Amino acid sequence: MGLIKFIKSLEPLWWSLFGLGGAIAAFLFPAHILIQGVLIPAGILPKDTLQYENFAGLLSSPFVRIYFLALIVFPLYHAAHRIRMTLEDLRIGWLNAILPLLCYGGATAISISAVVVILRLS
Amino acid sequence: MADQIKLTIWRYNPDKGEEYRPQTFTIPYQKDWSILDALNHIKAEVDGSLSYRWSCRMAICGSCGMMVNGTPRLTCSTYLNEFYPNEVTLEPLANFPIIKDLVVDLTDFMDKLRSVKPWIIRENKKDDEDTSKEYLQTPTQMESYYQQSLCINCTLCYAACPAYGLHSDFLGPAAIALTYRYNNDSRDQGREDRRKVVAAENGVWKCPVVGDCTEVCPKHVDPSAAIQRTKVNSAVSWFFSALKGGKRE
Amino acid sequence: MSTPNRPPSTEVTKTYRRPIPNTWWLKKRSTLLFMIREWSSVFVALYALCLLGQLCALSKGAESYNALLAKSLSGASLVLHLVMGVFVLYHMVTWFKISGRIFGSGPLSPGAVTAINYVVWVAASIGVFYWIF
Repeated sequence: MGLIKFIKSLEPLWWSLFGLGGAIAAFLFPAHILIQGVLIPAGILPKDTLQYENFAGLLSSPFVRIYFLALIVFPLYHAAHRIRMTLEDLRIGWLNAILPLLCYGGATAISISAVVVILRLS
Repeated sequence: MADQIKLTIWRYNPDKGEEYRPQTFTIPYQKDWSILDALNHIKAEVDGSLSYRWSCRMAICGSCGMMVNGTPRLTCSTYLNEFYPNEVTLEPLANFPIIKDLVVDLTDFMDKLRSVKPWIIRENKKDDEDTSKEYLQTPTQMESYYQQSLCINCTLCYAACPAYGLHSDFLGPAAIALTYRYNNDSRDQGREDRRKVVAAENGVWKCPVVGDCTEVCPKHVDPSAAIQRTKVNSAVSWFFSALKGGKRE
Repeated sequence: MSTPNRPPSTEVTKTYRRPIPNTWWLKKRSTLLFMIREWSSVFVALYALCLLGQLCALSKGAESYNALLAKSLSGASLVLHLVMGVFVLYHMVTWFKISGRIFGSGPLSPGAVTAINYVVWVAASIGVFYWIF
């Protein structure tokens, strides 16, 4: 249980990641969802950017890679924090004991796999 | 037939073995009466056993808080004409244990308030005895904490706070707002003394930003803003101290 | 937390604690909206995972990527994105409002801070459009 205590002692860190992730999601997600998820499938905007060669070309830049990494990682920590706080309200003793590990651990695991995926981009 | 209004009051008297249950009183309606006036009428004319707190009658002592139709209000400044001809339901202040009728146990709040040391702290303890010393403060300096200084400790914010209701170890809105008030007072030097309590696990971090505390505050203290700003300050100071080496709690 | 001056009145009668059901948030509009805002974070996470899926398919090569692209251009994907979009927008609106409450003091009113957030959002969205798409 030393691990759980350690995770809980980093409260300001989780809150800061929550804040950064929330800001990224607020400022950047709407445009991405609208353009890539709605306007392009609906045919209002052309599909060109999403074609394999173009998208792979876009993602060849290290800046774009870091951008997409930030777009994925920080909002995950944002969600992890909110989900943890909300589930803690259920006041289920055994669950509350491991929630920080589950939530922040989960976000960290997915973030690590995101880094691996990015590194695998040729 | 004079106008009348119904008040349903949730009562509790463990000494008489009386369970927590509602009792309805039908009383004369006076359009300038506050709920407190109605309660005083019931106690004087109908049922002297009804117990409730009150004092100043002018929203400055913070004694008369209770749930009025589900919302924490001060009864001295809530008027029957807001509800008439509908019924008014009175319950003791939420999230606190009930002692009797509309009287709740505020010990937990008092402990938490005390824990944040809500008074001017000087580094040099001799300052406390030196009555000749003046602490000058500009109007701008005062403005930075003035809003939070209006808190009358009525604990309506604790009754409105779901986080406090669900997790009774949470420090709570007023205690944190008063921490903010003193930390931002230019005469105070006690930020470090208060840091541990506020930055603890049950301190600011337990606030999920519902905002109901600010909604119900009769003095417009805006505890929620004070809490979020305290989170920012606490996080920044935590990062700086972590960078300097050695994490502090 | 020492309490040296507390009178010995804890011999008091049995106090009653009202239980709080897990449906507490349904009772008021403010808490219902709060809960919706909190759960919007699930959709935020979901979209982050969508982005990750996209990059993952890209890293596996053209065949994998094109298969995912075909799915993402479908009607079902559009509906999914609309749902995520609605919740992300709700997250955004509440985020900007709270930003205003936190940082709005002194010369900058809460409303001004919120407005600045929206301006930055529009600029960022235009940036995304031109830089990425």
